[in-house]
Amino acid sequence: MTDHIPVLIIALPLLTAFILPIVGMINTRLRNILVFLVIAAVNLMLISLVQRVSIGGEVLHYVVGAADPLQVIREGLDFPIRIVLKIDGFSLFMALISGVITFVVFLFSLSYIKEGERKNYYQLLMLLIFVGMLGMEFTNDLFNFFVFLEILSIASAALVAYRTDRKHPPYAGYKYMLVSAIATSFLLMGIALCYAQYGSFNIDYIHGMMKYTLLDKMALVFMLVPLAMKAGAIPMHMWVPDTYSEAPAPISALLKTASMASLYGLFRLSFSLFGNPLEGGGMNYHTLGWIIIVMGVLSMFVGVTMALVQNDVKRLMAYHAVSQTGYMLLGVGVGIAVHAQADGGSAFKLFGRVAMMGGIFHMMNHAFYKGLLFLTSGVMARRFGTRDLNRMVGLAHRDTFTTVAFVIGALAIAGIPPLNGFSSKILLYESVYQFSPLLSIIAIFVSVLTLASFMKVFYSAFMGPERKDMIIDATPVSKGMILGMSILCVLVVGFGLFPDLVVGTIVEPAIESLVTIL
Amino acid sequence: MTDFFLYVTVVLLIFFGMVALIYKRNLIKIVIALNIIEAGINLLFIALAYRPNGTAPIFTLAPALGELKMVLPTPQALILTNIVIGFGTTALMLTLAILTYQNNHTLDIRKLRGVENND
Amino acid sequence: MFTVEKIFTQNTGIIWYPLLLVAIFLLLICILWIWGRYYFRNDYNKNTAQVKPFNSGNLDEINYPIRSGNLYWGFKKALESYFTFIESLHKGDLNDYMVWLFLSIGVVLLLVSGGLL
Repeated sequence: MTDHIPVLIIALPLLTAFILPIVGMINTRLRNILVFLVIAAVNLMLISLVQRVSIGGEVLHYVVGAADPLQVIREGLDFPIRIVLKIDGFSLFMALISGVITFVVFLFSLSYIKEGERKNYYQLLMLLIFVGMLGMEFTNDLFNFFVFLEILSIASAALVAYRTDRKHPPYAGYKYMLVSAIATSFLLMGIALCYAQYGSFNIDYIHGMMKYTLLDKMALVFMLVPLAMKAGAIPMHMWVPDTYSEAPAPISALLKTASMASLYGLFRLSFSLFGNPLEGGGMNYHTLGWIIIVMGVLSMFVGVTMALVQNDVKRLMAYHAVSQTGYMLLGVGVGIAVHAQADGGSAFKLFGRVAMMGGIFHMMNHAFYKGLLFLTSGVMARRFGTRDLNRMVGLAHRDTFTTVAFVIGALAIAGIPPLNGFSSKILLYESVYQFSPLLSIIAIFVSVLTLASFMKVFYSAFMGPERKDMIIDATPVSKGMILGMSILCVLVVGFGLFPDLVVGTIVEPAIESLVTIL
Repeated sequence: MTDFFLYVTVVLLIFFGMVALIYKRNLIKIVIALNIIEAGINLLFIALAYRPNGTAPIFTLAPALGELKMVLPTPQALILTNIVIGFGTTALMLTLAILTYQNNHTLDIRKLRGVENND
Repeated sequence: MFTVEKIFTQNTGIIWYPLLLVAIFLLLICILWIWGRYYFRNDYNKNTAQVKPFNSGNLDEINYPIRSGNLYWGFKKALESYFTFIESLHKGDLNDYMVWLFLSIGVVLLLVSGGLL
């Protein structure tokens, strides 16, 4: 049974998703319990893998459909066939993020989405997004990666356009779908270029055969740039505020995690597929690292300055999502740039590892505090019937819990100690300073501007006199919403208070599995 | 020589699709442009898998093959998957275009920007 | 086992104990509270205009907060040219998205392949 956990994690939510509408027709309560059980079971399975994969340093392989699923290469063959799932530290790290956020989003939307609003399909698509993220993170097969990315994109686009009776959501969904479709088309072209040379889709096999020809470089670019677009890096970030702001609030939190899965793909492909920079001299990895660094720094700066002038609360938060993605790109970009240096990896040991650690730890922290902020923005937008900050005032008088949650999230995103945003940002500041002091200074400056723009939201929406006439929907925040937000609050504060525990348990193995060259 | 023309067709299809994506302003035409790019990529896969004078990749034919070659089966299976995915994408995008037209009474993306007045 | 403190000490000598920071913060709050109970002024009167926010002479019940659109006005004014430029790039035009994607692919391709393409 334990051998089959990798495929069960993907298959269980996928199969449940398609029986949901039937169960929903019979009894809606039963459907909620079913979805809860499935998400909780997947989370438990993920946590049960932490002991083996993260702490034990084991790498789990699973060949889907084979007689012996644990045997990657059959006798008589010298290359792997069939779809291979591979779980190492980094996959598990990302899957834990997806699992926690999906669980929280499910709790939050239990009462946030009303039963009359086609909730069967809402939960179906939510589970499909979950499957897409898990599949992208676990697969070791390029084409399978593409298929799960498409599942993720289609489900996300349908959920962005979920409120079809309103004016803008269908067009936002159209934008999301177009961006995803064009990005995945180019990704597929890169995959085709890889297949043309090596005749296989298996990431480890291609990595072993890699010859760094011109076609390989083209394949690298055709894979990395579209994934950067899906992750929302500058200059391909303009779709992020348009789509995140129109989606229902819990879905914005889920979309953020979904774009994090694309970021996982970017890091995974640049290391596990193309990365053997210490031996293979054909590819200029220093340039690649600097490209990612420049993308990251531009994302940080432009994202935060655009956020500062927004008056729409969810657009503001979406621009911050762009800005925070820059930190992750910066950290891992520094790692890639120094990994390739001719000094035999001594600079990498000195600070490159810490920079990557900061960047990847920031992914987890960002998913938690940005998820929390998007959830509170849902409460704000529902109370006042608008997302315009000019028409919000005095929410702190009635929603104390939401206020506390917002303050925790806002302080965490600005990197105020002792919350979790600081614990990853300090790793970045320290290590990037040794690489290039200017980049570190820009990162600190961006944090200050982040705090300024969240001060603006806090001042406009929560402070001020109580105005009962401006409140449209006065239903109290339900228990599910409070439970969802408090889980994230506990995680945000807890990860800030015990960063070394988290870094040592799951982040360090993630880096190890990413940079270890087979 | 046929190979060469196949790859030229692939490049031209993708190029025309990209040009249409940059210059066309109608939501339906953008969907068509996307389909052209997808067709180009499907053709690229098929062209990669093709072997001149090859037979169909059927397992029972394999022992009697002798001198003959088979075309590669895997990319064809993948292209079937991709065609189905493309069908789903197109259907979803056209649905959203219809809904956009119902809510905004236009298909022109210049009138649909929706950034300034977002309520 | 890896700990954050070790890395920090190795790099710049900063030691980062979040729990210690929280403890110091709580201690400071306690000191301030005890000190404030004895030395802060207690000559204000509740239920008078003394405890209400100052509204430039307007004595209505509602005070008039600055709308969020007007916050950071000076910042925006000082960087006006930057903001006009950067906002002109964020008009939400689908064709722009595509142009940026194709441009980035081209530029990154040139850089990664060393300009030999």
